[in-house]
Amino acid sequence: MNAQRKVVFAVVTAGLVAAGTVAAQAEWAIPVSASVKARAATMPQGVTPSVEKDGKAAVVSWSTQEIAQGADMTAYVITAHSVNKPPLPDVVHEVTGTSKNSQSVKFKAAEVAGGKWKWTVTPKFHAWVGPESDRSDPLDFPGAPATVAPGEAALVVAVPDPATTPATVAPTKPAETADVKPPTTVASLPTKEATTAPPPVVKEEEPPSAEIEPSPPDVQETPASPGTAPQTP
Amino acid sequence: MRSWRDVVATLVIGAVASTALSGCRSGATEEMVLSAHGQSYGKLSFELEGGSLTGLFPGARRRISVTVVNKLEHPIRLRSLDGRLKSSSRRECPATSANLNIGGYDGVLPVTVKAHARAKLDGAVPVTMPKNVSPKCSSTRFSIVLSATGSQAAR
Repeated sequence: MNAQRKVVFAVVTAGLVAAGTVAAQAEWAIPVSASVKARAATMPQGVTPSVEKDGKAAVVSWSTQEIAQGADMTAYVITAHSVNKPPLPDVVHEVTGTSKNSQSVKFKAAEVAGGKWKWTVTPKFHAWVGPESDRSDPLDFPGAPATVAPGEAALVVAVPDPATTPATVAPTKPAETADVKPPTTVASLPTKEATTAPPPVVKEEEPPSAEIEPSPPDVQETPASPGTAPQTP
Repeated sequence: MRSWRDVVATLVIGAVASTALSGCRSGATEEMVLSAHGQSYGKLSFELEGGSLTGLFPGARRRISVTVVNKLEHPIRLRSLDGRLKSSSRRECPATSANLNIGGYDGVLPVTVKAHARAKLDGAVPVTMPKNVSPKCSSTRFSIVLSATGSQAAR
């Protein structure tokens, strides 16, 4: 009897072990893992623009850029830096990026009169802002400034964004470029009435390419600084 | 009885990651091959070979597709596959979904891979960089971990 029990016990035990092993092997779960490295793009430095006179106005042109293949910059901030002594306030235009190879923007005569200017380009991709380009060659526009005296309100014209809301000019200029000059005054231009000059003629203004998803207006409306009420012509 | 060590040591999972830019007018794609080699049970570690995802930008969408390579003498069944953002190289751009979102595997599981075979999974693990990602995430390096569990399938 004892022998039979031993045999039964041994058989049951062996069966359990075998069954457990089989079950375990059938249900083994191997937690495997692999690591993938990912890197965010780096905003490129703006391309130094070229500039030429168009009568008493200045036409600034620059090569467009991509943050990655096929992903054009969403905007460019074009800044005119005065090289006068004392310097005039910077004049800033923000232009919606396009898929074209180059873009240009006109700084009207009223904006540049009486100053000697160099221009820079700062690329933007949504909220990402790249380093400002090197400065262009200077252009001199003799005459009396059509704007207010230095230190007061700046003449700033925004380039409207046709695809979204009325464009504004945001203080996108990198802080490191705000050097010894008077503070760059950036005026909000929700409407034409807020401008100090006629609406700019910007021939490159086109909606972004269809392949680029429309982006929400990342240009924040920035009210004019206190004491810098927009001028009327 | 085959030991776990033997079983696992013969398992190799290769991850073939292909990326597709979202919003690219040129439809440019990047591809990379990642190979992950199982080494030993209890010390499951994998070595990566190959490239990496590069050029992520606000609004970019990529997909990591995975190929499972089974060097076992038995079929295996892939039961789960997940991606997880593990780390970031910049403190100002932490490894959170607000900066880089790793979606779940969008294919059908389980998937059976025959013995000594490889199978590219139909689905992929999506990777998305939100449009409103912090500007401080520019140039940041991220580490993404793909985790999978599998089991031995019937012959």
